[in-house]
Amino acid sequence: MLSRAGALFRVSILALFAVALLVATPQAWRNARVRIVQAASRLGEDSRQARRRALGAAWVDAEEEIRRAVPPDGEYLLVDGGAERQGATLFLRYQLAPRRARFAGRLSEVVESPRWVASLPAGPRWVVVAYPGRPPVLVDRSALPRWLKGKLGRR
Amino acid sequence: MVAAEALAGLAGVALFAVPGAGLAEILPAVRALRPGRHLAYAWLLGVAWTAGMLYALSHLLAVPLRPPAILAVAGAPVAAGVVSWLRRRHLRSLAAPVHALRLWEWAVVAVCAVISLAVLCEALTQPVLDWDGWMTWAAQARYVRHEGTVDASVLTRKGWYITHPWYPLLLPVAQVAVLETTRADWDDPAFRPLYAAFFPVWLLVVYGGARELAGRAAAGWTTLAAALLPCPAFELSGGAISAYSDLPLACFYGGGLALLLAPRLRPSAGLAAGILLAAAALAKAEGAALAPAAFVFAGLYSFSRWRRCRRHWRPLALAALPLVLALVLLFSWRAGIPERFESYEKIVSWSLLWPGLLTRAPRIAARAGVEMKSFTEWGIFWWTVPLVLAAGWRGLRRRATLPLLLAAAAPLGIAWISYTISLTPEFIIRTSWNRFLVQASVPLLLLLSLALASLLRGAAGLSPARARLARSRLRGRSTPA
Repeated sequence: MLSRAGALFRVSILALFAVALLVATPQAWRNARVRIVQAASRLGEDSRQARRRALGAAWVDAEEEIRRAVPPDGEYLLVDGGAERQGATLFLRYQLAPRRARFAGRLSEVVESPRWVASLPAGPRWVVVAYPGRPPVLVDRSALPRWLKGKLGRR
Repeated sequence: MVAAEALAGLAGVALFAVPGAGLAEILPAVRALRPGRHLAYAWLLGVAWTAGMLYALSHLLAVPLRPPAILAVAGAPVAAGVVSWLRRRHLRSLAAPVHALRLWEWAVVAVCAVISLAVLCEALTQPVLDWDGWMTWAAQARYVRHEGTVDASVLTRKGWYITHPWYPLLLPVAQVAVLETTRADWDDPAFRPLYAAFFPVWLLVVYGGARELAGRAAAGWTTLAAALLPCPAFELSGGAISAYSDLPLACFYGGGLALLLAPRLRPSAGLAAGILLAAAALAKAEGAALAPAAFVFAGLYSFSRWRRCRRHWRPLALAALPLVLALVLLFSWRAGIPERFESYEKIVSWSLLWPGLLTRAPRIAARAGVEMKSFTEWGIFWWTVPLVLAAGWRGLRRRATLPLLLAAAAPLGIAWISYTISLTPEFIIRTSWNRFLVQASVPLLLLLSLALASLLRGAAGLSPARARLARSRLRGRSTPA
């Protein structure tokens, strides 16, 4: 009797496992179908066009402007226009690599802009401000106080 | 996707598959594996060899990471493999017999193929869109590629804005190898199919290991369950469509361990396992702890069989050799990397370790449970796994169970410690628990296959005598290697 109950239990667990596979199937199919269909519809799209589609044309244009200004072996000061967890600087740093970045701080932490500008590390001519969900901004270091004044004045 | 870029991406996969085939040819234990498993191990060996050797040559001998060095490193095992094949082509083949697939097995193959194809499609048509890819792996690869060395100045000099500079660079070096060989533009994510290829390889490693341990039926069901899981395939934070290193680590760690758990461990299997564990140590920070742990677990398993086979020390010594060399390389390379990710000081505190390991455990378990119950990431997989393991406990009465259990627990143990010392455990659990599960996936799925085998035997209505006979056959079976 007990062994029969045990056998029934084991069969019911197997059935449950089969149900888990059945439940997972539609989602797996959806996930797979979407990607295969999208790939088919994107035949002929090169990686540059894929970046414009995925990141937005305005974002890619802004990034290309920065790339033209800062050579691949150049360096720049990177300012975070958002919060740390939004990761805008991480994303932009990757897109601009191998250009080397020195982190200059967060706009939200700037209290007195002249003092902040004076405290920036020496060296890079260019300052790049990364925003979450918005194109980055390239600022010449010499124009930074004026740019900050306009920016923080509006804040 | 344009044909030239798609071909470049696939050539990147071949860059590791071809030397891997050469290595599989010269290692008799790998050569003798069944075709699917053979293919998976060949590819893993190819990545481990090519990227690992380039890492070592770049750091120790300052060899530039440019096409001549890449092609020479990739070409050496190809040449050795061709010589080996020519020498033994007149001999009788010792490869495992190939059995015809049954209808339901074709269905499993079809599901795995469709999902692998979808992962590849995503890799070929999308740029890098995942957090760790931007933050660490693909960013480091760009710096390493630009300077042609793993000791890039952004890593070795203070002052540059870089995240996790001491994370091991096996996968970034593999990216560089693909990008340099295909002469890809900076924007061209030609390396992405390299990551996508780890998904079918992971499935084949699971299937091959499960088949050796639990038989065809259980292996098929386990592999189907693994293929249908949304997280390892399609999760942007750590799945095969991302540039995270967790799935590669799972393949190297689980694949190496599975080779070492062969009933009759051959020296060449030990060497192959050692190469994979070396790659695990160089693939991700946790790998430096997980790879030696896998070696110790497998060593305990081997010594528990010491009376039956006293020659086990030799394959184990051969497994230890590449692992030790990889750890020496890792620590030598890290010695030149200054500490500077200040944020770590803000998010961890070792003073929380004790008694936090106990007092924080319920909160950690509850939050991890929330992640595992996420239907979009795991379906109802984690609801059924404990029930299958409990109901199929008879199948777990095997020598291999303990090392598998320990190997599955090791990544989760690392997670537990890191959450305990974290000042923001909720955030860290949310962003990393699923990835620790992926790291533990191969031993976990092998345990599941053992339990399933027991349940399937029961369901097939075997009499106790026949069940005993089947079990004894399974226990007595050696790997074809």
